[in-house]
Amino acid sequence: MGVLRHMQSYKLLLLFSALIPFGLAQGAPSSNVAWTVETHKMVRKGDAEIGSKIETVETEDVNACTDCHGRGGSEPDRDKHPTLAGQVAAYTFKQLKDYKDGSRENRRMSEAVERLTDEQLAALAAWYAQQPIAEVEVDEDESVSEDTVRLVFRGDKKRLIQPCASCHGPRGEGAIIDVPAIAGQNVKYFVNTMKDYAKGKRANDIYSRMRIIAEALTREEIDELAVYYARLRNDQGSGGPKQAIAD
Amino acid sequence: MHVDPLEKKWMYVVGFITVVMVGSMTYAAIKMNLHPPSNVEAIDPKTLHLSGEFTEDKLGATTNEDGSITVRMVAARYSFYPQMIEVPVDTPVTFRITSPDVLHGVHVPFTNMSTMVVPGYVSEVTTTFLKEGEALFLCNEYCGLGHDYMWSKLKVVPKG
Amino acid sequence: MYNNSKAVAMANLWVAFAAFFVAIVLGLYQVVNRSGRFPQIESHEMYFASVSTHGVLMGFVLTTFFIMGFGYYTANATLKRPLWNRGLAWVAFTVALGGTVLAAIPLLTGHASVLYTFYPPLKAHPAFYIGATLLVVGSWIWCLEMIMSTVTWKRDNPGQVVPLAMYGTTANAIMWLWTSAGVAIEMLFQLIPWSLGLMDTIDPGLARTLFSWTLHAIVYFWLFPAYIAMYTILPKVAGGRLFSDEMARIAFIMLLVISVPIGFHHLYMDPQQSAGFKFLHMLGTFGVAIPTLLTGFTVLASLEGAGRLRGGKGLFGWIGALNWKEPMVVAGMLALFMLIAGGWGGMINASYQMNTLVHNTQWVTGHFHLIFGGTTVIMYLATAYYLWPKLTGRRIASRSMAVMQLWLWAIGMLILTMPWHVLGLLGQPRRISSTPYDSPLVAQWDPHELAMIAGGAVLLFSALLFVLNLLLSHASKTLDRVSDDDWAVAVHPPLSVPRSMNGFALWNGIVAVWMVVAYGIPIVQLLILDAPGSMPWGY
Repeated sequence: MGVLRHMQSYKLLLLFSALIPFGLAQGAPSSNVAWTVETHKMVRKGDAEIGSKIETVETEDVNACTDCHGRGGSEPDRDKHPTLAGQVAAYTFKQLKDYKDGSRENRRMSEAVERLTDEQLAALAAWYAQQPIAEVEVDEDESVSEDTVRLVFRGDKKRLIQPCASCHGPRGEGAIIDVPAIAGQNVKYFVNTMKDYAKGKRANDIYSRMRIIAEALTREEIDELAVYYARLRNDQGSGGPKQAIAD
Repeated sequence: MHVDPLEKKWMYVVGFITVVMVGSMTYAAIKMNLHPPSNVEAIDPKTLHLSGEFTEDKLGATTNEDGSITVRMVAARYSFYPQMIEVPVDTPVTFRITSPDVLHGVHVPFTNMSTMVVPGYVSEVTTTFLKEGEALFLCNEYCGLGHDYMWSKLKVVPKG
Repeated sequence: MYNNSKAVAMANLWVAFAAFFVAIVLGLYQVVNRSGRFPQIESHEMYFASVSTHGVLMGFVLTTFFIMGFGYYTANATLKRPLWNRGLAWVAFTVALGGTVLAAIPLLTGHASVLYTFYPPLKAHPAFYIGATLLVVGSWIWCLEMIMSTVTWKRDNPGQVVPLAMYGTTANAIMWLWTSAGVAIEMLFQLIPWSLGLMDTIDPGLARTLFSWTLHAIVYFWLFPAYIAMYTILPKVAGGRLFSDEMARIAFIMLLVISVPIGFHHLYMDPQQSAGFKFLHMLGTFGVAIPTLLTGFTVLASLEGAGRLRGGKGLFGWIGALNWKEPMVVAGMLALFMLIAGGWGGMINASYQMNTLVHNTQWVTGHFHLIFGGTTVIMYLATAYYLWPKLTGRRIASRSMAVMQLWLWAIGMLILTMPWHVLGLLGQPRRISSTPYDSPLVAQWDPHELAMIAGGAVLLFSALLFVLNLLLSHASKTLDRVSDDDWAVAVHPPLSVPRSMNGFALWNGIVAVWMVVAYGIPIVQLLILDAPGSMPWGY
């Protein structure tokens, strides 16, 4: 009897351990931000004035936002940190929320937003959305091939890659509800972000839609896209690149 | 009221045509159980990825106990997720699709896999693919400026 | 004299045909863009702004203004009395035109690229929705005008038979009131408040259901004047008589009663309605084919009579004996031909099961261009040639150019739409501006796209000739006599008809009951289901 009971519990243990990987696969959603009416309204009501004050607040263990991203999010250390100026408010809010609950991993960012409320995150997002994007430094020698421009406007059917422009807009300006503006983003940050998506290190895009695309792109394409989009902001002042391209 | 005899004959012909057409459709509906998609089910499009049937880990093809397949997909600008679906030939496949954003439509050309995808509702279509090979899911309802690029792949493989 | 509506009729007709011409140019741009052969002009933004504008101009503006203008003339010329209220006719025109301009601005500037069907949750600028609503409101004032003209005439002519053309026009007005209610409800209770931010979310399933209420019968709103012309103008112009006045009335009545409660065949593939109601609507949809089949017989029989009166012998000899130099005769025959092709395609679309294979493919687009752009619009063009002398007192600048233009229109439409149907059967989806799919299908589509460009070019040329002819006709030779009595006489002119064929009370009652079942119940079900709504999305 004792032996039987022992075997029963052994089977139970086996069953349990078989379930564990299943449990892991269940996993959390890639982001807990959902665009319900309430969330949407809160972001819309974000007070930019409050946001402008929050970004300079520094505590003993947390930097001010301006330390890394610059005033108004437009003068970041371009080797590491993204430009935040002119970014779609809903997108900024989502990233900050994702940092806060760990859906997007970055120790310093998580610490930075740990003690902020959702309303304060919305305020920051509203503040950054209003800022004009500064010009981005791009090496004159860096070239963007026709093939890359074709990727932007026509995608690649062989790899099932949609055009960047179809979601991010023909001028890289982003779109409703939370598609980010990518025009005028720092080259290094753009490249690192795409690499992180490709590796799965950044995984807060729902239904893996950026991860799938980043994985399919080559390293050269990512480098050129980064230059294209960085320049797009610069060029917009002077008319910008044409939209229709030869197939 | 005066009705010309030839016109009367024509009315009988018209009646006959109508009866034949309506009769064949009624027969196909009742006896052969052929209907357009008719599953009415509401769902919140704003929280699909958070919980419920259409979270990221639940998408794709699963085999049910009776050997039939259920494929859960999300139609979101501008692709169908998962982007590659594999199903066996000659096996009933039930697609359950919904959208977190706008209207879409999905059609596999030359098959009767066709349905609208309306945010707020789950579309359900059951069909059997008869030909092996690669096919396309095409979005056929205007969903924005990138509508042209919205498509994904279906592979029909041998059974077992 | 009693004809006090010439100016307002002409104003409506010119707005219709100006819109028509702009829309044709856009149409050619679209077919060229989609072929992929001219990458320099390709632009998704321009394409979808163009499709939205083209659809609104052709489906709302050309049609509504033409119908209003034709209606005013018909009321004067058949009832032989002034319009019930001419001031109101100008109000209708102004409201409708104002709405059109208000909607055109966002359309042309890319702020309303939500297509003629404006399916939410894609959201356009509110001015678009408000403008479109005003256009419909203007048309309602016209409906009131038509109904009151007939009502007051009947009051002053008790026991008399309402002239057929006016009976049909009034039937059309009543049917339009019934059917436009769907889109009006969608506009007033969903789209306008939602686009203004007064409502947070919208249920696209309910919106589509309400739009489907309008979407089918609106095509009969457009088709009615074509049938009216076929029954009441064509036989006389062809030199014969109308085969049967009563059958024409029966066709009008059936169209009024059956067109509206059948819109779910536009929703066969939709998940918010279920099989039972889709099946019910299918039954009605096949019912509405009947008046068209009856019309085909009556009109052909009338033309055969005319042909035989002109000496035609043998089974088909009457066809050659018709007066092929007469624009209305040419248009009538070509319209009937296109009606057979387009109508058959329509039966496929209406099929409860077969619709699955063609839904939202280019088959559908080919179908409605053939049946609307072909059958209906060719009759509009021919009716314009008929009306111009009556409204201006001058002859048409060139009758032979009119005949040639109508032939080119039909030929161009067939070249455009035949490949279009094939593209749909080959799986090409609707509402795409290019074909970037990784599939051998794309190569199969290519030759059909090229053929369609040729069709579009022929249509543009034909439209040019049409507008030119009308413009020149304003300065052509004046006629000594312009008759308002060019209406077809029946072989057996009815001395009296039953009340049900002289009025609409019974039919309104039937429509009301049928609508409660066919639309009332499904809509209430949707309201109870209360699906979580969607917030606005851009495009």
